[in-house]
Amino acid sequence: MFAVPDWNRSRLPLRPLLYALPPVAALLSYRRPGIKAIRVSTVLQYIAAVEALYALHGYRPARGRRVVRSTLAIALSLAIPTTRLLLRYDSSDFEAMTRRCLGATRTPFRRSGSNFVATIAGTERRIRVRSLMRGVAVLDFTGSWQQRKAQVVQRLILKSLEPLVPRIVIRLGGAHAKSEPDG
Amino acid sequence: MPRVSRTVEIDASPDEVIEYIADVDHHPAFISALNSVHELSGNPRHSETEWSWTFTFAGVALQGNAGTLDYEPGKRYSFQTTGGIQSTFVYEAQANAGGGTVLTASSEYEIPQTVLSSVVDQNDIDRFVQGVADEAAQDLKAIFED
Repeated sequence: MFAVPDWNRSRLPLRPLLYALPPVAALLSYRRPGIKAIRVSTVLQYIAAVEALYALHGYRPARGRRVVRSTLAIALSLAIPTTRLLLRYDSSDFEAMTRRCLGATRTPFRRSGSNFVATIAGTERRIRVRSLMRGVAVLDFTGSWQQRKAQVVQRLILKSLEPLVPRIVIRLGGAHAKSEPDG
Repeated sequence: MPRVSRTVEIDASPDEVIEYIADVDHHPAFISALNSVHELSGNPRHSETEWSWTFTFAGVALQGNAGTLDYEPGKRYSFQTTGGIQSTFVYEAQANAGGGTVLTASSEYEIPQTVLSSVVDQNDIDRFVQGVADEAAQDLKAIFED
């Protein structure tokens, strides 16, 4: 892990560094008009965007990857005004979020493959949160989610996910998630 | 200053209930209009601890800070909010005959000017506050009992 300066309170000029990096320049069209400098809340989250950029542009630095990664991460942290522009979240981000939500609602759960299996009022219900390209998260809820506790859990997951991605697709009944192999 | 209060019986001990409520990270789970709690400066059971929050009041997005006022294990937890909404929340627990808890949650608040200027009908604001209070009481019960 490299050290990233704490720029939370800094406001730095954008353009010189950004235009030197072709993949980052591609992102400039996402910038809000009139923004000259951007306050950075967390640089580490933007590393996920860097990885997505690599994938999008087929950019695979063979040497000096670490330097390029850190440079791009810092550049992106200046370029993107909000985490909503992240192109892809790692599934571990969603897993951590789901875990926190189940804990906060005192819901017993276990993992089964890529599903969380939550026990609510003695009944197991499956939850799967996964990411797609271009900032879409897909939420699969299997089983019945009509009971109050289940709705509390569901609402908290949605509330927690909402700031992370621009678009959330919710699938109730979840035949897809049911077909996921256990283990 | 308007005040809203709810009393609910929960099938869990007062220690357990107040311990849960005093962890303010849990609040978005049972306060439907509270979107997030973040930047917690330490243990919310300590009176100097502060945090930030985002809340949607009758459709108006607000943000601000909060700080713990008082924590007595198994008895009481209170905190104050500033910024988007000036308010005080107090949660008080008593044991009932069955070993469960009678929890009284109350809040005194000022209706933010941004809300007053955005919401035409005062009744909508009242309905919103009463609805959030009802939901919070029922959701807390569901969290402990289901």
